[in-house]
Amino acid sequence: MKKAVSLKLFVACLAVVVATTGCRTKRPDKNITPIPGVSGVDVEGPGAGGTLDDGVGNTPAIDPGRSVLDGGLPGGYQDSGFGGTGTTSLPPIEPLPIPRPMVDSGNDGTADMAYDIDGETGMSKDTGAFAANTVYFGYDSSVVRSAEIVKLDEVIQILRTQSQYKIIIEGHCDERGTEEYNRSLGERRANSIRDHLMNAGIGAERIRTLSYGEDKPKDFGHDEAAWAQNRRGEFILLKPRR
Amino acid sequence: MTEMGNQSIRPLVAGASLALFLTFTINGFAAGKLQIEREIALDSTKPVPVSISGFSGEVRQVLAFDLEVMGCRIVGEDQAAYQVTGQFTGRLEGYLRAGEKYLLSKAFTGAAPRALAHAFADEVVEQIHGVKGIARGRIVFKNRTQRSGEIYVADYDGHNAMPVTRDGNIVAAPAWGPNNSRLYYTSYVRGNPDIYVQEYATGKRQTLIRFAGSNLTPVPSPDGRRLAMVLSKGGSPNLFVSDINGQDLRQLTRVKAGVSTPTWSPDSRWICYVSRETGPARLFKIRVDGGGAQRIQTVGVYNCTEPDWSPDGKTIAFTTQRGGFQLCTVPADGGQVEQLVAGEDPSWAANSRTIMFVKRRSDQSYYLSLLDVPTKQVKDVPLSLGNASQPAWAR
Repeated sequence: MKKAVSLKLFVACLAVVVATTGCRTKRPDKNITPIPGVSGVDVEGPGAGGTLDDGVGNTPAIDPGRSVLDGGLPGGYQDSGFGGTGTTSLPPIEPLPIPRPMVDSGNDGTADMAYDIDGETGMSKDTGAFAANTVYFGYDSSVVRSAEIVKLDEVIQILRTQSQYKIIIEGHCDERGTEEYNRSLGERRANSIRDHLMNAGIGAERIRTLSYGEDKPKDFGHDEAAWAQNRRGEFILLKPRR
Repeated sequence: MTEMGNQSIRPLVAGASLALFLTFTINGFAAGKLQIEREIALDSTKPVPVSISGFSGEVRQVLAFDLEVMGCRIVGEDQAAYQVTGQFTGRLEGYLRAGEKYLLSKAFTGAAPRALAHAFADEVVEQIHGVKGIARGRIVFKNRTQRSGEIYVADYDGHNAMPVTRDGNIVAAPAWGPNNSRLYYTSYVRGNPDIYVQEYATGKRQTLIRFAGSNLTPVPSPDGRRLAMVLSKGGSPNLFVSDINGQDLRQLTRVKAGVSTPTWSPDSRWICYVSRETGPARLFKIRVDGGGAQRIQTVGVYNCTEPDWSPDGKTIAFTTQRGGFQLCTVPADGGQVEQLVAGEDPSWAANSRTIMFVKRRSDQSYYLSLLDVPTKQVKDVPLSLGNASQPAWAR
């Protein structure tokens, strides 16, 4: 068995190489705490004194002379034999920093041209004014059904006569779509309602759409009755504060 | 797996019933350097049988979980193609054998036991699969309460979960920014779904995009230069791209039926997204620097949402809905769809092999789970939070 002999030779050489590469310069790494009492202690692998291939040579031992604090990248891999021998330190393990609660810096994105969100600060929100006018939608649909359109008349009427009022249209979905798809669908539902209002002459600068997707169900059930309640557009009337 | 100039081959049958062969090619011994190249010819759709001995308690649990997530199956030593051995005494000494051959022999120290075990597991898996492990990965996700939610970060296995927002408001679609030092997400904290960027280490936060209407799904490009997002800006939700600071905003799509959930190609030149312009939700891609949108064919399914482009660029994972939700993959250029397991909202890990995704309990609350795509093995993330969704890997 010529192969077996060459393998024994390999293992013997390996031991030598492992031993000679044992004293590399150590670079301190402040991220890693040294483990005391390791240096100089022979660490033997499993089956130490035992065998790797016919009892010649030990299991490749973890190199004890070289500290685990090499500080390099997972490059504990030395050329000392086969790929996996050596000791590795773990510099890339940064302790997970404690995330801080957020601090607002007040730097806003640009405001939409049509609607001034921040102009709402001087207005009060009336969620009850149009509670009876909530518009319901079909599954995965953003079309305002003809039976629902009549609910918009009262909203349009008030906005026409009270030009100082503005309106928020909230779009909601049932839980059967994926989350961000639903957020987009909720926006399209609110948009459909807004289109009706704009066709009736209400200016875009008075209408804000606000999609919640499936995040704000009206009914927390999980059946068709609940879902039908949740596929909806709601109105919030904005009135100037006196 | 490549094979290098092979002089002698020594086959090692690690278990005939496993139909698995390990072949070692000893390459010669030049300049003190001996290379062993092993060639594994095995059915990659079957988990690799691995044994663990010498470890106990948390370290063993972590090793077993990590290895199972990454395509291994923990078995007895006699049935194992690979044997993981070693001990933990504050420092972790770990070995990997394939039969009598030692493939790995390393000590790990300088971090918490879980982190050491993850690091060892990653090296074990790299030896077995030839691809770096992902057990030291971190995730960001959304945890929903009944009327609000917060953004959390955690280790990939759900440990060390910590909130990064404390608004008590609705949040959505968090993503990691360049160098994993920043988080991008949508929050309703100012009464509108606006896009925020938050420095991870300091918690400093800035409103990035705030138009009336929806400002959704900010996704930084892999090169860290740009931000893709969905904005309605008073119209239908459409795809926009800006520089990484939210400036130089450009609209890429003009679709009345609306788009959602962008994902970048790894070269940062393409964005894949969902559009309903042709009826049901389908996948499209568009060049960031101009050019029309192209349909990505998904043969076999038509209702596609939540695409996620694999880091190696080859595959797009997505969710389809037919009754329940199903995870699927399709080649990035389009083609035949492979349906994987029940679930939604996939996020590829850096190894382009592991997917984190979302499952629903019978009460419709969400939890996170992990899929090893080649073997279709699924491991749920043992997270104590009740309603976790929208995971994204730090890559």
